[in-house]
Amino acid sequence: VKQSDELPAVALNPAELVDALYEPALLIDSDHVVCAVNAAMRAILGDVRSKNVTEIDWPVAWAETPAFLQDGRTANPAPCKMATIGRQRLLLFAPDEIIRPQLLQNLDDAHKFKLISRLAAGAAHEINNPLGGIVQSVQLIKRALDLDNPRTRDILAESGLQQADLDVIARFSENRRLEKFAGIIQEASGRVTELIGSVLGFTRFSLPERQLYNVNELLDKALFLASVENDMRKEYAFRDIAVERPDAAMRVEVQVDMQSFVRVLIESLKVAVGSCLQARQMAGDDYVPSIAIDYETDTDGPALVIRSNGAPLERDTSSIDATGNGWHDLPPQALSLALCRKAMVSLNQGDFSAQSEETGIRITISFGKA
Amino acid sequence: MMAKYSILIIEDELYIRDSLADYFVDEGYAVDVASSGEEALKLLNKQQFNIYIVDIRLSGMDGVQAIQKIKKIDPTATFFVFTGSLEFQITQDLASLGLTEEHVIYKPVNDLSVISDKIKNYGFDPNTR
Repeated sequence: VKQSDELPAVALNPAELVDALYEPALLIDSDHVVCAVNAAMRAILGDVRSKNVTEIDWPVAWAETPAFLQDGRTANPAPCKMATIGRQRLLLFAPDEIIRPQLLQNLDDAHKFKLISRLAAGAAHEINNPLGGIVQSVQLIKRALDLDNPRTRDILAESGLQQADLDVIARFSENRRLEKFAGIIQEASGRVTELIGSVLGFTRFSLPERQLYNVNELLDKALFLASVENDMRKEYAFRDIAVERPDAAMRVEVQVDMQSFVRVLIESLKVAVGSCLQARQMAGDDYVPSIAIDYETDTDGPALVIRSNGAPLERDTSSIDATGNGWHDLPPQALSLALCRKAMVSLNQGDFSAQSEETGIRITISFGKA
Repeated sequence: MMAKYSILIIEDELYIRDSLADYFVDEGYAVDVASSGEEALKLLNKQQFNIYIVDIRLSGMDGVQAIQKIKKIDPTATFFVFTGSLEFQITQDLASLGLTEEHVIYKPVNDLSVISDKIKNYGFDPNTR
């Protein structure tokens, strides 16, 4: 952080700017101020990339959009300016007393995310080693308990044991349920292995890259990670909600960035589950929350439809486009989803759909219809 | 009777190393272990092995360096990379030694027969010895 003659400033190199732009949306619940900052950052990056500019005089288009504060007041973002320092560094002036702390918070969150990713990768490796010992050893125990295994029989024969002795050992093993317990260890360690693999795959820091994936495999990843994500476990009780999903045999390949897809889907599920919680508050404990996920294709391309039997969002028709226009008419959940990446979101009588550039798949959330 | 196929397991994690060794002894191989690349190279002064299972993240000399050095001493050896890093991919250095993604085994291994099947596929089936 540098100080200019007149204004406080944040010094960023381009890579940091990308990080600050994209990563915070994962970590912060959007409120209107943050949306304005993110929209501004997108505009800056868009200009830098498309026009190869070295200096931009603020304001650009977004600055005409006032920032809406949570207490109902509005604030006009003050002009910002970005200039080249040397070949690589960019200086972003953020004089507004609201925007600048948020910008710093975004940067802070981005750095935290990278740190957490590295810690998770390191911790997973450290867990994998003793876990490998458990996983491998329990296989040897099961093999030792299998009296039909040729190697086990050889060892027993070398020990001078007769068939009657083997029968005694078999009965003991069965009575003490040794095989069963070995099976439990094997199953539990297999689940830990899967958990570590999934979390590692998601936390790996990388720039968005579209690859071909089977939709059901992506859903497996997203639903699994949603079930272990802290908010979804504690605030949303996601594990208690029945989720219907496409036939597991269905194999449809889609080209998406996996991290973006999973992230957007988890955000979408939060919206759907949030509406379920709202319905439960209104209807009482007799209400049974449920969510159904379908994969569909129509003239607008591939879409995931999430139907929740929760309460509808009470909003009029509205939309947001990639420049952020119209964002202030949308509920915070829709904004949060839209601003994960550049996205087109529309809200129509309580339901909304979002199509982000990175996922390439439209996600529609319907309420009261599961 | 011909000598058994031999395996050297180079792995610094005791639990993994020993259980893997026990498994391959059970499978009918002659197995030796080393906890580092340096220790493996000392063993190579005495004997060579048909198969090397090599952890990548070793203290001291790392797994890639160990494979490169062993390959110089024992050019016909078959190597399998044993790694806990899901991000691991065969590097140019390893590819130039003939290793492919087929030679990578990711830890932890939920079914050890996957490794023995790989080894058998490369012509080292103890039942044919």
